[in-house]
Amino acid sequence: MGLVSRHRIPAFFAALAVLLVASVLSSLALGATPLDLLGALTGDAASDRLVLLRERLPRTLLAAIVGASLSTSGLVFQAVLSNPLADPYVIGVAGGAALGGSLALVLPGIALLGHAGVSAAAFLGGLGAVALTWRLSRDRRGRMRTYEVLLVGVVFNTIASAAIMFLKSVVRAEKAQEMLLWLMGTLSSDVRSPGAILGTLAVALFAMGLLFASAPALNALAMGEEDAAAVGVDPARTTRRVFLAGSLLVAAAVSVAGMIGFVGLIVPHAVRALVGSDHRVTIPGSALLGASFLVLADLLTRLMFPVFETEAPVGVLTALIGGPAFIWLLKRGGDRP
Amino acid sequence: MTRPTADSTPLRLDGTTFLYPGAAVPAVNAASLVVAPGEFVGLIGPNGAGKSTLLRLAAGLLTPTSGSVRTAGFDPARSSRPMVARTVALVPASLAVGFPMTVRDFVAMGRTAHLKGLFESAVDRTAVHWALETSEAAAFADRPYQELSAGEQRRVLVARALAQEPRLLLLDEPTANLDVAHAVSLVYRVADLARSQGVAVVAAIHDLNVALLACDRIVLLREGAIRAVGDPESVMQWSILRETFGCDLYIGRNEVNGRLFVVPMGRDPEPVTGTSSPRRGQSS
Repeated sequence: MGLVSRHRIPAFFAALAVLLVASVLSSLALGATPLDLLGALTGDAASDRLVLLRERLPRTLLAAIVGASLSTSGLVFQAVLSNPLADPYVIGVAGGAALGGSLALVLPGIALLGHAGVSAAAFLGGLGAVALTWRLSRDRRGRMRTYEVLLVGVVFNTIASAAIMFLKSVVRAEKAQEMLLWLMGTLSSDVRSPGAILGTLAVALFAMGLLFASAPALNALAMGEEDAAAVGVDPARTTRRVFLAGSLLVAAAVSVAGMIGFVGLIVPHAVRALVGSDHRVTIPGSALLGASFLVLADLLTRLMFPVFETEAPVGVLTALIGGPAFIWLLKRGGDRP
Repeated sequence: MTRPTADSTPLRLDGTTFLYPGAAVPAVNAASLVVAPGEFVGLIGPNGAGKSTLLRLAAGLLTPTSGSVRTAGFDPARSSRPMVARTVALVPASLAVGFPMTVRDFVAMGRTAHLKGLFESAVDRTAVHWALETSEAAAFADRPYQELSAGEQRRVLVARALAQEPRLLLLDEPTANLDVAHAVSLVYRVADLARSQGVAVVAAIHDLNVALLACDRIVLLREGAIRAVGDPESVMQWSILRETFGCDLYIGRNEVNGRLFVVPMGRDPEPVTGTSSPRRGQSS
């Protein structure tokens, strides 16, 4: 049902894998200054090795994890909310994480912990928002009402953004600038510890695994709740599981990279336009394409560094590229969500 | 042949009552019915009589307000959805799908509860193929479901239910939108399936002549209550139908095959069957 016919799906995945490997290698080798990748790996180029291991490898890994997380969560939110405009940030988890991270940036107590503290606070804020959304949008029988999830999410995000604006207005200018950069989405923050990266990776893999296992149930939900139930899917349980797994992905992504926009909206649409709406294909497809997309976007911000003498936040770049690309896709009519 | 034990009875309704939240009168009122394996039961009755609600209760999609529903011995509303779906399949009256999907993918949804992993096995594919053939949907298996006519979509919905390999098949208006040839063909295929595989069938049918074709038993519903149950000849009586539908009907016997047939009477001033028919025009 997409541009790629069914028997070419394996080739599609092979192409995505090649794209990801190529993106990662380029991201490692290129940047404001290119480095000798082979020399860095063998140890012949000691300073390049330092840049590779301390800077580029963690950053590239983070970009891949965050890109995959945002794309996958966007995909499943679009499916369970039956809303093609849903992105990872429509539900309250984004606002919660943004607020948690902002508080950590400005409160002296938490600021002592450095960027690990910001990430942890953002992740906790995200989880808090999930719990709140969950409490507010379920009916007496414990089922989530998806339209209320959306409403609560939108309202909660508004409240969170008002609170963040308030924080911005009362802190010193350089703190406000730091918050702004973080909120716009950036991979240049100092989240570089192997612990933080492995933690994010573990959360992302767990949540994506959960979503992949729910793929047949998600497919059935496209027929509506009653028909999904008729073919043996518990709609309430599926919706719950998908929301929780998707929220984990968003909380993890925001906590290490702030609010990087558009990846989670456009990548799922692109994947559906290419291969149709079978979640057994679109979930791994979105993860792979999202990872490549953000790795390349981040590389672009670094390549632009000599031009602007500052690094544009990658979130700004994804929106600048993603916006027009999204409209182009929409006008091609390949995707009917 | 021994009588099946209570546990293997495909459908057992006992005083089943269902009140939609906020409704003043129950949609289904104290309905009791037992359907045996291989039996084809037709539900007839006017619009709003409770036919669809009865089917959804039997499918476990609604929980009875009082009374009980048992499918193969278990309560379908309180059992695990996959287990229910391997026993009971429902063909809804119509269905729109949000995402573009081929007919084959759509029918494969019926295998959701049978999947061992994430992907269909050879067994699943065989079941899908058989379901497509049986409901005469194989010819458009690779077309998008959304682009089919209403009648073709109906056959695909039947195929999805057959792919579940149920012991109880529930159909809500299976022949609506079907042309006469496909309607007759579908009803006979479902009846064959009931007889050859022992599948119990309960179908809400508007077209009384279609109901007469294949049903072993007719259940007549009105205002949520079962007003008559029996073989087609005993239920399709002028007085019963006249009272239930509030419309004059001519019931005749087909000279070719000896079956009953029902024809609505237009605005003919004279009663054709029976002698105590009230004046036309009083019925709505």
